[in-house]
Amino acid sequence: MKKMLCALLAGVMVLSSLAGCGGSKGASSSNDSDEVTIAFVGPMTGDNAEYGQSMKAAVQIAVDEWNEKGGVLGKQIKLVDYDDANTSEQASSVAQKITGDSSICAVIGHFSSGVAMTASEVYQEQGIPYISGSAAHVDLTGIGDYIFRNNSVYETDANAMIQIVDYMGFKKIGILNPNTDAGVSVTNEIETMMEEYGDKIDAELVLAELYEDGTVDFSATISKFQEAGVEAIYSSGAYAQTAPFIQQYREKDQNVQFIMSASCFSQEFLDLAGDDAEGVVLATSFFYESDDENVQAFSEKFKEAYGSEPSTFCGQVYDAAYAIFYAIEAGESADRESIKDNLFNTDFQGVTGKITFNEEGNCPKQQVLLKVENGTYVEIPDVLLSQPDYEAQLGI
Amino acid sequence: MILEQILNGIMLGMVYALIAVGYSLVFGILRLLNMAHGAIYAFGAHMALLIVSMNFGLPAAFVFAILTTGILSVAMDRIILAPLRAKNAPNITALISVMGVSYIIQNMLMIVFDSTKKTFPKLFDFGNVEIFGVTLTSTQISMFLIALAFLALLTFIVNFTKVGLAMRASRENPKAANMMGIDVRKIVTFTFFISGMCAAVAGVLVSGYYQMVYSTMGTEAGLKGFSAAVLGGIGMLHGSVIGGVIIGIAESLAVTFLGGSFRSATAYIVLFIVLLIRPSGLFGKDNVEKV
Repeated sequence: MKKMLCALLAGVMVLSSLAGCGGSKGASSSNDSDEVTIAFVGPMTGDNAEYGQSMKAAVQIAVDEWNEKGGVLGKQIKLVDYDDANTSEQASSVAQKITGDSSICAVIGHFSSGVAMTASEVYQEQGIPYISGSAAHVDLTGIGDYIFRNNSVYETDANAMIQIVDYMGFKKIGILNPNTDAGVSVTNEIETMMEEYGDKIDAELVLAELYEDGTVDFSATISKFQEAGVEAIYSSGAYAQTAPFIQQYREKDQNVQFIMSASCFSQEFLDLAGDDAEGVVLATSFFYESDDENVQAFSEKFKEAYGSEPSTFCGQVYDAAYAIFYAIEAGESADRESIKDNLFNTDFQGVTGKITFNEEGNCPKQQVLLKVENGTYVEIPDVLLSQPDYEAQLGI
Repeated sequence: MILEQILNGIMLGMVYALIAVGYSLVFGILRLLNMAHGAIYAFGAHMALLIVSMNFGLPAAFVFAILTTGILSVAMDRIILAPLRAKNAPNITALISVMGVSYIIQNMLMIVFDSTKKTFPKLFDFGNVEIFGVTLTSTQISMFLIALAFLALLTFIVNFTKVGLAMRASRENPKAANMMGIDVRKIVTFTFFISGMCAAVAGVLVSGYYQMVYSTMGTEAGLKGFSAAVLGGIGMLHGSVIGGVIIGIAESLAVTFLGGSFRSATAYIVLFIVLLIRPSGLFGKDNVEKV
């Protein structure tokens, strides 16, 4: 019995190692092959599987659109996907596999910042261009010149929040963020930025609070905010915490204004916060109901393929795929280094705004202001500027 | 400000107290830490959610949750714990078994109801009330009053009824109680039912208070409730209430003076200090171990 089991297990192992080879079968120099291959990596299994699967669907739409037009450099584009389960361990071995496959010319994906940063070390060392559509950690693109990002960094979130406060005319501001790396970084960013702007803006940060991830009772924190007399509160927390916070605050005070981040741009947030979500404003770089026809076309295709509205991250990886295809066309080569060089010259209008990469590899994201009205998000156009434009307007 | 935070703490403390009494009841009779209590509490909340989502209204949801959760609690005892007791298995076997049960319940909830956070209707809404210049919301007040009434009812059952007398007798000495004609097995079943009922009442009240239900809601709440029970002296009902309120106030004041990051740490530091001074808890009797 034991022997049979051993034989069976050995068989499975041989098979699975063969399956691993499948991806690199027929790998030859990318320029000679009759197709151009890009890779998508994300959590296809595990807790964050919905993010990986939805982002892959978005990249697939971009690939299909280009293939309909005849592909790039006259070659069809092939998308291969890998699962990193949103863990650094798996991401690093997947990254080795991808860089070792010479037919793959560029990589998109990875969900969390930490996971993306682990894989990026490999991508940089082996020299393959990589674009993240979801990582927000400032240090990601600092890893090297092959690492790009089409997502807003904490600085952009902080700047958008200040612009909203300025636009709505609030003077006393409170911040409530989770005591995680992200939460603390955003809080610090806002504090430095408000200090820098000084008298140029009327708003004043009166109270910055942190909460333990998973908190459901906010009564003590709310009393502190009320004591400090805040008129508006910003939070970059996940919807699961901000929704009960808003509800508990609304019970005590109907007039306070809530300013949220893109984390609250989801149907789950609206469901959980219910009527208390009315009037909440937030900034995001992508809005599926925008008037832009590219966005409408993408949202429609995405809904058909995946069954729900595309998230901000989906829009961002979709644009990332476009950026890679444009870079291939610009350099007339699917060579990894050529793509990297040409990515720095990217300039097109994507579904998540104007796509350009600065010398750090970041794409400054233009944010749009959304407000919850009658249980749905509506856009308030022409309020938010890019950070340089806003600073120029302030005279900094 | 401080008065307001203390009141906030008392309200929060009642939430912990409701969960803590469930631990105390079972521990009092079986000397067993029912680590599945948090999961059973989440189960109760989900049962209420089920009825609410079918539009039968909150009172029906309350009754259904109490019955199903009580039955689940009894079933856990009959199927897993009673056979262990019959075989005179060491207490640690029962402890690890209930921990297993807690994961089974939690994962079943995750499979059936998925892992998102779901809305639960607000319990009462009659505007805010001002007491000593402090604004309290109607949900806070009604939560507090219902919890208080429920805890009073429990105390009455345990201390002034025949069943309560039998429960206390079984706690003191199960063998002697048996010889006096008390059916200890029935009393154990009854205790598990009451403890499940407590979990359901707590689950529904807390869900209505925070307007939210999710499969892992029992983990954190269960741990805090357990701490409250230990702080007050596990096995003592009034001790659980006081313990819950002390932990609630400690958390509120920690948020006020130290910031939200110190919330849980402060609660546990208070627990350690109390246990250093009184190892069996505030109202606990010494020599809990009997031979």
